Amino acid sequence: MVHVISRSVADEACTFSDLIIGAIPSLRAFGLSLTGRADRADDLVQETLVKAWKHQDSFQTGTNVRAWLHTILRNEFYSQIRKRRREVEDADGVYSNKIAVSGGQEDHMDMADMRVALMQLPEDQREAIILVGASGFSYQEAAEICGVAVGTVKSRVSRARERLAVLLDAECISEHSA
Amino acid sequence: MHDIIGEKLREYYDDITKEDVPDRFIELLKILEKSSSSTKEN
Repeated sequence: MVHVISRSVADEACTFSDLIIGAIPSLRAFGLSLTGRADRADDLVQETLVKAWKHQDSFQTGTNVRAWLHTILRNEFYSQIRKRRREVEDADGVYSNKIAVSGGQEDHMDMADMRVALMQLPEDQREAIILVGASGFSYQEAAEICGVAVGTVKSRVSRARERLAVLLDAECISEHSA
Repeated sequence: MHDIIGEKLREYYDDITKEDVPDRFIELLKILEKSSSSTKEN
């Protein structure tokens, strides 16, 4: 654990970095779900930590540090994706989400299935269902993280659920008949 | 309606969050702490 803390925050029961460390597992999972790749996910987490540290003055104690960190990671993801899209469009004219799907062969089968299925969803649906359905954020928190209305999150989550149901069912069928 | 989806999703997610926090992040936070405490003291 980190106990080399600066004196100014040492009096508080929980330091800023303790709060951040507690959120890292969830940030990694969110990053992995967005990018589909562990190396890119961890790069996103690293950027998030640096940005969070830089802007810690804008974080108010008592507010939801997890939601704040997820917002930073999400913003970072979209700014990287915009950059990547420009690069890929320059190279071959079309951006395909599929390039982000890794093999994931070491994973448990269900997990690999879920990861592959998630990567088939549009990004807006994917982030919504991860935040609400897996990370345990409320619709309200997810709406704030994504910068959209609560109703928008609700409809994205429900479309994502329906799409996942179809994708995962289809995968089960093709596995069994193969 | 699709409770199996919710379960599978949480399973997928929990498997990732169970992993230990990589050292690189702990190290990074230590560096950030050191740099911010030295600037604050100035």
